[in-house]
Amino acid sequence: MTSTKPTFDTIASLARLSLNSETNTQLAKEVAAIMNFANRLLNIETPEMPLLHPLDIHQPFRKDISDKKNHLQELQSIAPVFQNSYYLVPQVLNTEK
Amino acid sequence: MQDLSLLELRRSLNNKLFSSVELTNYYLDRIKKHHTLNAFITINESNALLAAALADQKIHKGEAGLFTGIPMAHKDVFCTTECPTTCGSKMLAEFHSPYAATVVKQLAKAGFIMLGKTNMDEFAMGSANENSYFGAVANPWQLDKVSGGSSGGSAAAVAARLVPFATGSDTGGSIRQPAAFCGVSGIKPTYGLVSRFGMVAHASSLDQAGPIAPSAEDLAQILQVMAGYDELDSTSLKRSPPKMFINNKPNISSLRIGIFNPQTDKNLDVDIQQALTNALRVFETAGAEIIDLNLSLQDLWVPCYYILACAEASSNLARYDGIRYGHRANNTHTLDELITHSRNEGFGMEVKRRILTGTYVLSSGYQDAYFIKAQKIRRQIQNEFLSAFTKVDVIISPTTPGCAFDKGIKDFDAVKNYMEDAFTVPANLGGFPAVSIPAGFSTSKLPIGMQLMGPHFSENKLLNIAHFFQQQTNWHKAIPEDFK
Repeated sequence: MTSTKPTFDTIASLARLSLNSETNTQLAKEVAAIMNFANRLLNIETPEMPLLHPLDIHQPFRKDISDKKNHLQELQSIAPVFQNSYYLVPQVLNTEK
Repeated sequence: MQDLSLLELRRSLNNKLFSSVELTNYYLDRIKKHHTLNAFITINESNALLAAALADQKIHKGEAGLFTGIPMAHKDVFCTTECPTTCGSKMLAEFHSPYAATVVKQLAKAGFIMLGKTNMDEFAMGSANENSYFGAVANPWQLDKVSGGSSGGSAAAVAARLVPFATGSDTGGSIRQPAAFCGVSGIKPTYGLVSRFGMVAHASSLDQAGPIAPSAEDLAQILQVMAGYDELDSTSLKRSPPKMFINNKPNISSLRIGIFNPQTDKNLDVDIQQALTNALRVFETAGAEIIDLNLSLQDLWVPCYYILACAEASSNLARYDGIRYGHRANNTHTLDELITHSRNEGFGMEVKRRILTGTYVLSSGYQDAYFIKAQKIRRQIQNEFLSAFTKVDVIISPTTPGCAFDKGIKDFDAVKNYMEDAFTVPANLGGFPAVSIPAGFSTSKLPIGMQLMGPHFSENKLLNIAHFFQQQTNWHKAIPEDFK
């Protein structure tokens, strides 16, 4: 991975991290070093090799039956900002620029 | 009291040598006295003493179970309702879980009393316990050394005998490595054996919960309680857990032990090499056969692990957005600012580093080259070990390439740090069980750990082999001078 700013900025944006300039530069360098280390995998032959999950089981499904429990109080107790059954966030639509 | 095994504690409680309240107070006093270790994030004093009093009533009536009234601690990665669950992070510094992890409920039902939540690397990311928002944990053997991580608080607490045992979680060695650095025993079970419900996720296909205790005998008893199918965890195995039965005269004469030559980039400490040689001699004297293995994919273990662990971590940590729970940034004007600033403020550098790495390997154009490739190589690694296990019963290696290193190393090198996990990650990649037990001390008087890894569901065999070693040696009984 090259350390060109736009590529790393894109990654940071996808990761939903807002980094200041100094941290951005430091982390870009460190992630590049990690990827350089990881690059030894790139040329390994894996002919028709299936992926691995440690368990050879199918995803279990629970019965499609409602537990009829209302978890509102529990959710409210741990929410940073909660009002009338809604999590509150900054307005997204119809904001004046 | 601190030198007693779980069985000895049970006998003492039953024989009224001391009460559960006295025992709980004893350990609480030790925790407070040795607070500079920073092994605990939260101490659960009043609830613990209440539970101890109830335990004493049961003991008095003759209704005590095997573990009624015995104290313990949980790594702060397990959700508990009695006290906060922080994962060593600012992101969850004030998070009170509305439910308890299955492992927490199982151990409480067995009668154990939770004294508190132990310190850990943030979101279980780290090998030194220096990445905690709540400060680093000191190694009880030498306070200027790291405890190891990410279950550093649990390992240090057990080594200093602040608790009889503690729980940990292991994604790439986070039970075994701190156990080795602190001179105690720890086991990562077969993937799927212990429920992950309520254990905050780091990398879901690699994480496993397990105990840290002074001896293999104690590990067996605790694991028997922790193991078992849980319908709340879709990765929990629907099969009866293996019976953990410690045989005081295990048969070592027919044991086939596999060893392998470490790749040179692991920089193996000479004291550790010598300790392992001495340990193998103990088994050979009892008739075990030592077989050389050729593990040709060694130099792929760590990069494969870190690609997958970072990818899964970036996905698992996407839930922390400042909206539904956890840290929320102030003074944000847009939804995007709320999310990005909350995450930026809530996460430490190592977490950010791994999220960014994981995001990169999963991004469009790179997923095939890195993530898919790593998953295929993971199967190759597992196959190599499955083939090895047709020739040997157990693979023995050092747990770590070196002993506990100095705290506060200023020149940060992520790849060098990640190589600390060189011997531990294959067990997570393949889902195999692995236990670390003390195997000696270095010339600088730091503990050395030896790892025993076995095929899936061989926990009982591994623990019996470990128990045999602990019958022939006394490394596991050593306690740091300041904590005797």
